Amino acid sequence: MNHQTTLPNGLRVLLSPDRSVPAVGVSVHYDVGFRSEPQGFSGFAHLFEHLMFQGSESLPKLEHSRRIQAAGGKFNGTTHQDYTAYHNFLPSSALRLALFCEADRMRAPLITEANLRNQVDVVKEEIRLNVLNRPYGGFPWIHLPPLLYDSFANSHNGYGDFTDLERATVDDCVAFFESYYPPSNALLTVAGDFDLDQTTDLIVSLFGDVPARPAVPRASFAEPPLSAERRGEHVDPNAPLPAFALGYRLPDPLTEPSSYLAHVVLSLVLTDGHSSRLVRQLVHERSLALDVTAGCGLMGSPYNARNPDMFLLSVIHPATVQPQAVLSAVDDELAEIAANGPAQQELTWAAARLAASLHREHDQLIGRTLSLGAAELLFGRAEMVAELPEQVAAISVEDVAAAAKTLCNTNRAILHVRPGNTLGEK
Amino acid sequence: MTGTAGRTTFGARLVPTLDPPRSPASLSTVDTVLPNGLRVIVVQLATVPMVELRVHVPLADDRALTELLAAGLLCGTTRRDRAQVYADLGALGGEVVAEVNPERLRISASGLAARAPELFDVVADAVSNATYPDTLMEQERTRLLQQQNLHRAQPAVHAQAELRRHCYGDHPYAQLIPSTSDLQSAAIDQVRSLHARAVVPRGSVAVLVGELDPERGVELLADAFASWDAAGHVVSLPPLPPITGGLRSVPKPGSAQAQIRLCAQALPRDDPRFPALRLATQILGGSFSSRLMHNLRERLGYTYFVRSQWEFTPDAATVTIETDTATNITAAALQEIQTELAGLVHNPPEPTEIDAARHYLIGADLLSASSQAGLAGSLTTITAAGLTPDWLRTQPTLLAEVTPDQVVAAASEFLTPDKFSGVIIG
Repeated sequence: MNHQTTLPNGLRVLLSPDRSVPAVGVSVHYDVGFRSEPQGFSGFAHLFEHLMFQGSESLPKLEHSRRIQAAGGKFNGTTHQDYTAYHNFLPSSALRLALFCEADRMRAPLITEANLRNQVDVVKEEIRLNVLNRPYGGFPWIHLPPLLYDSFANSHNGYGDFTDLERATVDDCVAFFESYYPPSNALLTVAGDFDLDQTTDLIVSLFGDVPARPAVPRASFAEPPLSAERRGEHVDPNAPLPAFALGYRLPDPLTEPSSYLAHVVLSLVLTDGHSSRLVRQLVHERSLALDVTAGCGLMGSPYNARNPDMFLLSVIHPATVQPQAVLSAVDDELAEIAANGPAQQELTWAAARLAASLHREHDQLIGRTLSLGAAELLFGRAEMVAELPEQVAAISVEDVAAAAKTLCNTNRAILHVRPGNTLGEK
Repeated sequence: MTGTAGRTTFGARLVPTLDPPRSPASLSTVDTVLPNGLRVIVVQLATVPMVELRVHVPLADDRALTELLAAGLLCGTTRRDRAQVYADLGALGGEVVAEVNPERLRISASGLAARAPELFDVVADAVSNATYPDTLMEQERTRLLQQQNLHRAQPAVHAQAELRRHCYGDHPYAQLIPSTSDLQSAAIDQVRSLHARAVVPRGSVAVLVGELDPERGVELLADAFASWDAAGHVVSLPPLPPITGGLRSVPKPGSAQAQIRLCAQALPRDDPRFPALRLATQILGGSFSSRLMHNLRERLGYTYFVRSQWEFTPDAATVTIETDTATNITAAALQEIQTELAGLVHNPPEPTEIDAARHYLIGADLLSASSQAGLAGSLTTITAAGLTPDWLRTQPTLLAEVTPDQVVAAASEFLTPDKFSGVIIG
């Protein structure tokens, strides 16, 4: 059971008690992600996330992490297109501590020049590790959006350019905090082993005096559809094999939930598991590809961003295979599903696999906490998490055929990756 | 006044202490050996309506053969062709993955608890009756050759392979990835004989955690695995030679980052000095709050991550230190690591630092054991190491008994800079 309340300062609170294991998940979702950073400030939201760990009024630099870990807990922060989430996973004896730490940095994070410069260095190493020194780093989440979208918000690299990061100032950080981190722009989620009434009182006492201030009105990032197909190429110095990705605009998950979900199911029919259409055909039967993955969402997770969201299909294939051959095979399959729909059995499998994968995610208390928080923050409906399996089971063959037909008739973006590391083979 | 400079008019607040710890409920467990020699451990943990099964088969043999075996295990049996395997899994939302490393074959299976018997039947059928059909195996060989190529291009994989080769030379433990020529020349008949002689129940373990009564779980497993009646005993990895070799530089021109990988001999889990050494390494590099992270990342900005990790083989243990850094500060980073190693002795851990490390370790175990997948994983690791499931319960007390002198003694004996061999790549 989920319980919701809103404090006078605007902070929304979502509580989900479950006393079966002596652990709690505590997360704060702020309604700002990298789509909100303006030109010249690429990577800022993620950099600011790092800075939120650099101390606050009652907790000098490193104290938050030291105390959470000394209490037997784990923590992390993640930056997404439309939100930034800070989470803690702890033995239930540390609930009070975790709430205190989140309130302290919501109220008064310590932002200094030294810490800013230090974390710019750290973020640069993170980018080197995850993108610049990694085969297919940023594929397709950095290199495809500039082809699929025109606005800076939707097309820029959320990790940021080094030049933009190096130009960030303490004043910029303070302004960002003031604009985007008021309590009215945040959702606190607590799940696990706690007493509902006691914890509600505790939250009021810890967060109640975080000063209210107006939230920046939420911008719409909608933009007109592509007027033609767009192609682009990226040379990857670390990749040993060629790859390509297809990107399509998706229906709005908020205003067209059924159509969005039909696209999710389509992605499962196409590439989820060894009996899925494209894995069976391209990987096993015809040896046209090593890896093929389709999904909704920039990083492959559906319902993790507001409109506009994207459908992505990525393929890594042998150098001896022509990309056009693989692309034709994919297009043929989409056309087939558009014309005839999937078999009912494929839908049954997709529904069972999705239900199981949601369970696996929620097996971990912190997974459950973050799922609830994201659904509530992005769509105002934490309950959609529990409703999803039933809704998927209600998607019909015709719904999926319609989704495939929409993709076939939409202008898409195609990103080709040219491998630069073909000497790797021994 | 807002908290922009990390200050409010109220000022810093008192950080709360922890509430009294709650012990996890004792979980209903059965630990027994089936008539065919397979040890089974079943634990009831009903976080979600799923079951998680792990089958651990010690397996140390020619790496090309073991990789082909894992790839082909689900390609068909005497009772099912591959399409049937995946159709059966699809219907129950089941997922089965088989993978190998130099020491063992591991099969991980997960599915809806209501359909557990069917899931177990698919797994048991594979281990008892896999046929490795020629045509599919040739497809798998092709796919594996390409996959290994991709795998080798990952800096982290390359670094691990270099470290093992440097420390262990020709020993099978260093065979992380089979060579292309070995994969190309392996005969499928040899894969079938390997399976017949080495994928056997005697010496293997099946761990099952999920929403089911443990006695019933044992019955279901006994039923499913009754046909796994191969004679013989598993083949374990031969003992590792002691680590020798100093530091070796592996040039990698044009790389955006360098990898530092260091390795030192340590102690197996049942050694009386293990708790003290475990605490010493935890303080050194076991979490964000460790000395290495605070120095190399949060003070110097040299890296996004630096950590110390334990690696266990059936008869030995090592501690590795890993970090990736920009190439122009690699030498400085190595210097800092060596300073921190010496610092464990010259600037010994205070009781508060030791307490924090102890609580972190206890908390990590508690949190891991609070999910089906986490508990299945740690139980499999522990029993594969020849320990009883009870070992986890003994740790909090053993860790609490360690004195600061014992931590320093462990660091002096095992963690001084001269004890570490390794590679620097980049």
